[in-house]
Amino acid sequence: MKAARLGMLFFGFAFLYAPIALLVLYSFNASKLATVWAGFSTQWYGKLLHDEQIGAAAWNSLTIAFASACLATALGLIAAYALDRFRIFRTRTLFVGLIYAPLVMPEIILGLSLLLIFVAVDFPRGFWSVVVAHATFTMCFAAVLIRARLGELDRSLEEAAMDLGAGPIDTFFSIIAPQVASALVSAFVLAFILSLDDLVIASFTSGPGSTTLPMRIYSQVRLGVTPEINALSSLMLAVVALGLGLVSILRRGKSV
Amino acid sequence: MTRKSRSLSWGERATLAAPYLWLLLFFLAPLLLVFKISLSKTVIARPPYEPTFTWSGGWSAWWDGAQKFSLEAWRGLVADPLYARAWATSIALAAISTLIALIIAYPFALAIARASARWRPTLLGLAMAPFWTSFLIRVYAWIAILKDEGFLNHALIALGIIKAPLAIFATNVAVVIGIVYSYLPFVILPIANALEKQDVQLREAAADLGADAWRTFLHVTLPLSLPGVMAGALLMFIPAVGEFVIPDLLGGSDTMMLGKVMWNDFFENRDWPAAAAGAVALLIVLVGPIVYFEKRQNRSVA
Amino acid sequence: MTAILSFDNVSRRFGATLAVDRVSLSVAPGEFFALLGPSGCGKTTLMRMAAGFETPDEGKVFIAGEDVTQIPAHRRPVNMMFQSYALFPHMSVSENIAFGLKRAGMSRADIAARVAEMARLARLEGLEDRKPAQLSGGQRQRAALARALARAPKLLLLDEPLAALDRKLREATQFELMDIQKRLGTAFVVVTHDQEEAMALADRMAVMRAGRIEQVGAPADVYARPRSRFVADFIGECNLFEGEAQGADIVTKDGVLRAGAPAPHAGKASAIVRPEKLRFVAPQSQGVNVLHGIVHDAAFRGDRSLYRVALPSGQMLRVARSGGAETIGQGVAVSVAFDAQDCVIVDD
Repeated sequence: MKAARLGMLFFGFAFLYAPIALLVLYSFNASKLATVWAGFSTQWYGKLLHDEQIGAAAWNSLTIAFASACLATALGLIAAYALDRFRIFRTRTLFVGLIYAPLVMPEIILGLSLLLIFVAVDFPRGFWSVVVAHATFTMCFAAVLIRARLGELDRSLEEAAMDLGAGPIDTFFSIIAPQVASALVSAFVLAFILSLDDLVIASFTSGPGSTTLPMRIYSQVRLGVTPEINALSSLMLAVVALGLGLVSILRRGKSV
Repeated sequence: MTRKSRSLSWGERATLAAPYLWLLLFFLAPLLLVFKISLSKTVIARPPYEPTFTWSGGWSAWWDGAQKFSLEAWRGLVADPLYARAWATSIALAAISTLIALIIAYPFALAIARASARWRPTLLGLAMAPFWTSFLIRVYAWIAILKDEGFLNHALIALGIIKAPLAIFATNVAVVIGIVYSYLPFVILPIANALEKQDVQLREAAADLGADAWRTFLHVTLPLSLPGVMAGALLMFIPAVGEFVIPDLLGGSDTMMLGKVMWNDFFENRDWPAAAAGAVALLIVLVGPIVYFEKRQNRSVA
Repeated sequence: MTAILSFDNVSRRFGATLAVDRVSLSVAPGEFFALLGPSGCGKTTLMRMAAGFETPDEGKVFIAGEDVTQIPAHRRPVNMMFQSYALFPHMSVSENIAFGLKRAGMSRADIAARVAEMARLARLEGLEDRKPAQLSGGQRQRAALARALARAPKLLLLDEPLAALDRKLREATQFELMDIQKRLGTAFVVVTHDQEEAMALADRMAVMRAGRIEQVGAPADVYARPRSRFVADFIGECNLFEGEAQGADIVTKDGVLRAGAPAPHAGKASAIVRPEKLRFVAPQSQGVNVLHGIVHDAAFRGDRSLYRVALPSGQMLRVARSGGAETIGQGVAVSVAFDAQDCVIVDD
């Protein structure tokens, strides 16, 4: 039994991580050939540094991710608080639906529909259109995550604070906020990562000056596997791994 | 403290307004707009469809516009054999992939759920981590593996298992591998959660009553975990049907999935009504599974 | 003297259930009062109405003579000790104690002095900088008490204050609570489902059932003279004889029994006798309030033994006998007697 379980774990993790490991390994390949090892080299990372197009796309991606994650965390916090604390209101079912539907909706529908509304209301496509689009779907992840934390809170702590003379706003900042702080940071980091990774929605909603990193990678990937793309992908993986590491420390081992 | 269905206070309404209006404006309204545009005609203009409505034209212009609505895009959707094939391919590939993913994910999730409590969160976190990395990058990683001169063929030839390279890349098989790989974490999480919640004493009771390990699994563990299996399957199947990146990068020129057809209609043919009709049709097909998924979530939220 | 806390005909409904049903009750200043009842009887809801976490649908709540029915919790001059203690996990013991003092607008120096005083009172010296997670169960309980008392309320509400402690610690803490209460002269209202705890702690107690108060009185009175079968059964063990009351007599299947006082009404009633008020007498004795039966079994309880005696009617009589005396074997025919003053007749 135990051997079978260990075998299954080994097989499962090998399947999940081997492709990523190969990609990272071959980003250090000296050869231009994508699948033939020819010694260790960091030349492709060096090349990336001097690629201005990649630099511009990276800057776009990071700023969009930052702005949309800020919006998503704020909106997600409010939505989560309303879901957890407000008494049942008439259109609550619709609200819950609006929070959960984007989690499973095919990206292509989200992207297409957002673009159409931007065109219809003449919203200029560029930095802010992508920020709004990303915030729309990442706020739903943020809301679900923060709501889970709010649901865990011991309500008697808030009552104790009130009992000791703290008003509702005082209670929010002195008792609730410190307890959900780690969930807020987690939600921010995850929204940031989701935005950074997104290709489809960004492709629909971005304008000429706001090409993101995944869009840049996509246009090059279609031409084939290259060590530069391996290096760039590895860097993005490193950023995501860093973020996930931070989140898992904050959530003290709870799964993301 | 029960929460009664009363109207909210003004303070509560103001609080709720921000996320609510945001989702109405940027999620619900766009979906309605997609429906409207699916009833439009393609024209060479900016935007490339008519009718369009403006505030300046007054009622008569609205009326003129309304008469230009057309079912052209929907007729195309039904008549064009390309769409029929795309539908069949999308649903078939998504279904096959979901099934394979369940077969891999279940024992994997079981192994995680039965690991010691100290390791469980770490293992689950590691199984989920790839979900947060870019789809694009993970799919890209498989190109180098599946190509004719890729890692897989290199390895198999070196081991003497095959002589000539397998042609997997640019086929539906590659697409299925890509979908299974990309969505696997989606399936593992709900199943592992469902298994983890099960009381150990249930299995002990089954064993005590004379059931062997296999029967215990079949009659206790498996039935109790079915809600998790269902959630995982939905979480994967719904978005996989509309998948674009995977068929585009791993599939061949004959792999026509809906996401790709919509993408081409939109970006290459500039036929926005057709893309919109495709999106609406996809939504209609997926609305059943989505509503089912939401009902489950709603129950756990309410 | 104005009551420190009084409920005037308060009711509270949750959906279809009436959690509190037209309750009126007063607690005197400096009194140790217990609200006792099984879970779901409404005692916690009643206490939460005093604290301000629930608003009555009908009726009024007064604190020190002032109508506080519509005053929110953070503006009421009462404090509460929560069942879970509700210590703020991100604050140290002294920060927890200081929380309410800061909100009362005290100066920094005064707060420090008061925190030190409370820490001494609750025997928490040396633990001031610990977080709640680093305290033992008993220390947590004392920290919660110190925090609730820090603002020197005229009335302290305690929700199941001892429920989270193990048996040994509970007893020691009981005496400690009584000590602190006497020293400070604060009125304590404690909610509990544990009748022994209520009787040990309280000057007066109210027994609640299904949202209503069944009986209020000093523990010894309530125990000796329960006003209903429910109260008799809920507080301590009892033997119950159903029958027809006629004055101070009641006709049962096992003969006529005599009570210390006449029944409230003639007709169907029950006679109640506590097991420790029954004593074994010489077999075949005759007289008032003597019953004959056969020993069914006996349970040894250390300081006493509890016998079950089968009466001719089939009823099992429970008889407590203090330790030391030699045991009576199963199947032995015995006679049991009690004094009329130890028998109470209640309505059915």
